[in-house]
Amino acid sequence: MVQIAQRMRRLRTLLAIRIGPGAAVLPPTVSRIHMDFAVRINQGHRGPRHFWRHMLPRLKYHNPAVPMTISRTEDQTAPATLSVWLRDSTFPPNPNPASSEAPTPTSAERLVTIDMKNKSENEILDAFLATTQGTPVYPTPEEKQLALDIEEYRAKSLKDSLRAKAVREAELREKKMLEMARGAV
Amino acid sequence: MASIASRFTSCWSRIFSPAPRRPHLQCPLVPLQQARGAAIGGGAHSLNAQKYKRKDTATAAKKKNKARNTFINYDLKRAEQFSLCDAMRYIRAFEVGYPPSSPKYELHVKLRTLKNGPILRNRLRLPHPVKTDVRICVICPPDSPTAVAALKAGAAMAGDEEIFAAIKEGKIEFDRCICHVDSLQALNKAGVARILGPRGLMPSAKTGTVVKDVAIMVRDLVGGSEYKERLGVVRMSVGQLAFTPDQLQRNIRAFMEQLRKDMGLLSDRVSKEVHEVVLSSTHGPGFSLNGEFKSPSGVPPKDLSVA
Repeated sequence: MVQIAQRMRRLRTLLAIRIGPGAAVLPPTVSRIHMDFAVRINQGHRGPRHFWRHMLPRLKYHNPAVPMTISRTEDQTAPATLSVWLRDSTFPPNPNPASSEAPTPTSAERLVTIDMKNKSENEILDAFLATTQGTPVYPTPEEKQLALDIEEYRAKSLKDSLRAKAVREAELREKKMLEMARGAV
Repeated sequence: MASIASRFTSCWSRIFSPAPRRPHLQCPLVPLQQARGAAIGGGAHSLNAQKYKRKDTATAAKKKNKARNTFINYDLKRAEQFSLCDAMRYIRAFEVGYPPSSPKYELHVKLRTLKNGPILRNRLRLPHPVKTDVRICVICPPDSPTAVAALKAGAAMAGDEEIFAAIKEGKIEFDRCICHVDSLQALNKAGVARILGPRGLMPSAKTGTVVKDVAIMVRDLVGGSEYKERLGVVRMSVGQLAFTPDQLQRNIRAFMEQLRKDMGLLSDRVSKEVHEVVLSSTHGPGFSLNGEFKSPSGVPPKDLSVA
């Protein structure tokens, strides 16, 4: 297994799943979320894909009880929609979905769809939060400090790696020159 | 794992302004080795230098060459550890959007063990099987009671000459192969070891795939999973993402129980102990588990049962 310090340092980046754009607590009226978009990013499917990759994990972390499913199609001309099922807060939650197909809403639920085509992930998030009235989660002072530490560490490691690369390249150059000199004799 | 750092780095700059530089501690380090060498300088071959020359260079080299015979086990005191439900919450966030039956939970058990000792290797049937569509081939005389029983227990095919012929043609339509004791000679004579061996399908007594009661073996294999210790770590997939915390807990408990039994069966001279248990998943990072089911501040387990 990998060295423990390295593993723990990597795990610090879990912070990125707790806070950041998309970290929001949804009200209990949201019963499930489903996204429909295409496999590749051309023809306006870039935003939906980024929303899934970057913001949906944060939403899922803060709302583990809300089922979030995705179905992607090979057809790039297909529409990209984000469907939200809203229900009365007294209604019992949905059973566990067996597949990633979108079910039809029951009588007590209301289906709201957001068009995601040709929109950036931030626009989609704004529209989604406006629809669901979710409350964003802001970082605590400790989390902010941790984020700053991570950023500082990242900047330092980038600087170090560039320096090490320069040293390695210089060594390689010298070796090559020596070889050439030997070859000439 | 490597993805989490890169996946979210873009957002840092968006939320926070760039980090204020912490003043670096500039320590005027004099290269001590050089300074000493310079002081001795030209008089390196003086009598004094020879007198005080280090004599133990040979023994130092010998010490360095001696290889360790155990794997390094890092101290877990400063490691961040998680309860099962907390780890599941993170993993489910990482796996969001994948079909619930596709990503798998994996368990990695790090052992305190010798490098050159015997290894743990066995199979078990989890209370909640992870993979149930294993195709099993049974080598035994066709239409014999054993073949009938094996097929009844869930084997995909049973026979001898026909199967050998199919294998030689390159048609291998199974994931596991077991052999009845009485058919072992026929199997060895057929010369299919050359084809099955490299794929890890060749039945042998060493791997426990040559048995007398084929039916029981087939029943164990359907929904059973194998595990093997590699470099001091036993890895096995213990659940589908759709499993509830209770299901996963039962699976992990069964697996750990079996490992403990295996370790007890080893000879007295070798001892193996569990050092660390890590839960990870197909796309997620590894979470060191602290052995608890849920933490006081965590989400209720029933929230973790939906997709």
